[in-house]
Amino acid sequence: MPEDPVQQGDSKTQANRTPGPGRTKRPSSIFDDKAVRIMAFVATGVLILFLVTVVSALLTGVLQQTGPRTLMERELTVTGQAIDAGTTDASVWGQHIAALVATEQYARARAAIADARESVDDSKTADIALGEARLLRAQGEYQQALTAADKAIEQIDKYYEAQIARGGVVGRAAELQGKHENYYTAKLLKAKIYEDMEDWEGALEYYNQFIEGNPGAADILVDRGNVKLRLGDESGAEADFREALRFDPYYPRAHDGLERIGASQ
Amino acid sequence: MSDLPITLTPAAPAPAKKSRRGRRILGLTLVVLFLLLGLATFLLLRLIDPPGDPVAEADLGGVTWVRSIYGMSLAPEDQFLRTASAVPGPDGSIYIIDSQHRAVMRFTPDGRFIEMFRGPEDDPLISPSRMTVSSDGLMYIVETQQDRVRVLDSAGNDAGSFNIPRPVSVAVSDDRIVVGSIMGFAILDKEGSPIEIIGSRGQADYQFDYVHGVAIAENGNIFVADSFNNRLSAYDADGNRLWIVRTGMPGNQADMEDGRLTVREAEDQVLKGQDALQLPLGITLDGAGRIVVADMFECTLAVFNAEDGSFVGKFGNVGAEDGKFFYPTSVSYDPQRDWFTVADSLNSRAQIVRIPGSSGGGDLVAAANRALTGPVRACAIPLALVIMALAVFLISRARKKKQKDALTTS
Repeated sequence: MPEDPVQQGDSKTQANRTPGPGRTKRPSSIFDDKAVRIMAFVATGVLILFLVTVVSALLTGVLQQTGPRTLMERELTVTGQAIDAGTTDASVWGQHIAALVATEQYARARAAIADARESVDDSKTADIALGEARLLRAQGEYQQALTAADKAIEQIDKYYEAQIARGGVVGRAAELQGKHENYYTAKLLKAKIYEDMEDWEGALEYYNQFIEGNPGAADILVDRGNVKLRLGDESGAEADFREALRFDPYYPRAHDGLERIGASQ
Repeated sequence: MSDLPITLTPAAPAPAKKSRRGRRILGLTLVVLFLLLGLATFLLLRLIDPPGDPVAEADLGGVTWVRSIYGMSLAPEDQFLRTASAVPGPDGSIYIIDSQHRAVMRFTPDGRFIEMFRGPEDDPLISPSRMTVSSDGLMYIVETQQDRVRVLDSAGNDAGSFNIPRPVSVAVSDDRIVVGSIMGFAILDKEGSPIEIIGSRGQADYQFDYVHGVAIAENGNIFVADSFNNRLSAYDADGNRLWIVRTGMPGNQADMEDGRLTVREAEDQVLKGQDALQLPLGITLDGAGRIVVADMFECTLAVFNAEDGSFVGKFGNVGAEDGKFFYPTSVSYDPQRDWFTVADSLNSRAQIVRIPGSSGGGDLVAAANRALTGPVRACAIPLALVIMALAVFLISRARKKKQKDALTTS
């Protein structure tokens, strides 16, 4: 009588599973549990996928970089290399610190400020003091940021006065050139810090001082107009928006400002 | 040891063992593994993601920034100074001319530097400005000061040149070359022999003042940006004019009268207000068949209807941040990826951007092509593996089920 194939299959399977004469019983393993086996498969699969992704990234060149990919990366790269090469140009250090602050690398910015103070003379342009003010503002240390900005203004003032006092060609040149542009940048920074603090009077005072030296700055005119709106001075705000449009007739923020106060455009 | 026979228990399958210890160990291992993988992925993404927060799209005037290219390497001397031209090649490579390097530089679509072409040693490029790349990979490079258009093959070898007085722009199709000059434009065959020469220098009808942009449509129509006359015009393949529009106040209508500079108003209909262009330069056609013009002074990309030259819209803002422009000089379109390459001259970079409505259908293909030029392409192989594994799993399961059904039936 031929054997029943189903029976045969079953008995074979069973024979494999059950220790017979001469077979030793397989020690129990954690992999006898189906859930454990599934977890092990998942873990192995994920690990393999991850490794394949890394290899694929290497092969496809995703991890290879040649030039800078963003403005900030270029700033950091170019200024960083100039600093590594031993530049004593305070403006390069200032740009580097500003880029570090903009990319939220505060610890590195702090270290760069310390290094810059040892490496360059900051008395003329106050780039490092300004960098510190920017860093403190970004970290929300507003009072200290105002102090640092004041220090920058004071440094530039002092240098300028010293040049004038020297007289002769140097004094004349200083008179013609005026104070370094960072003088007004520091004032603008103070205005922004006061805005962050929602101290609108303070912001207005420093916007006024900045615009005094830069009457054609359309964006700052709009900023001042917005501060005036906060203070309830609609006519003053309208005048600023209109003045901004005189320099840039299609400036969207100025048009928005006029629209908000319902003024004709 | 007893010699008791071992009885084989039939059929009933043994219930799966539950190992609490095993589950705990594997569960913990899985958690640790996922944490480690998460950390590794984060570090990888940090490596891929460049520093600096992207600017909000609302501030970019409707432009979607894809990427910027600043130079060939991280070395200061390899950075661009004044980009003059940025055009896509047939394989998606981006060719950039920078006045600092006096050379053509080729980059991958994801911005990695590949090679530089300076021309043959005995006749190098002297002052390359604008360029285009034909479908067969030939580079057509304008050298205004030398009154010629140079042709280099895809390996950078000399493939000829043709002389044109004061050329300032060039476009190529399968059977035509169009060269814009300071006094009009010329339609040439692929050998460089003139078919039609149109215009003279001036402000009158059929006169031109620096044709800084030319583009050829698939049907052979030619579009011309007459920069200082602030006009756009269209011609058929034989040079017959189809339409002409004044896109803003001309930049050349000021006369010195009694020692004072007086600006003459244009007498024809002029695009005014926010629609007006200030200085149209580079010009291209997008996938939807629209004309896209780089407005150098307004730092925007302006879009016009190719049928009649009517104004459609403007995109972009002035600024230094990635995605903004500062004196863009050339714009070109890559239909495979539905993006524009822009020479952002005073920002010393080339930018790849997108604007709404530019694709001519095939959005999914373009999106896939774009994705494959970014970091996502590293996931293509793992994704294929996952799909293959799933397929194998499903097939083997279906086979087992079939076998089981067959056994049950028999």
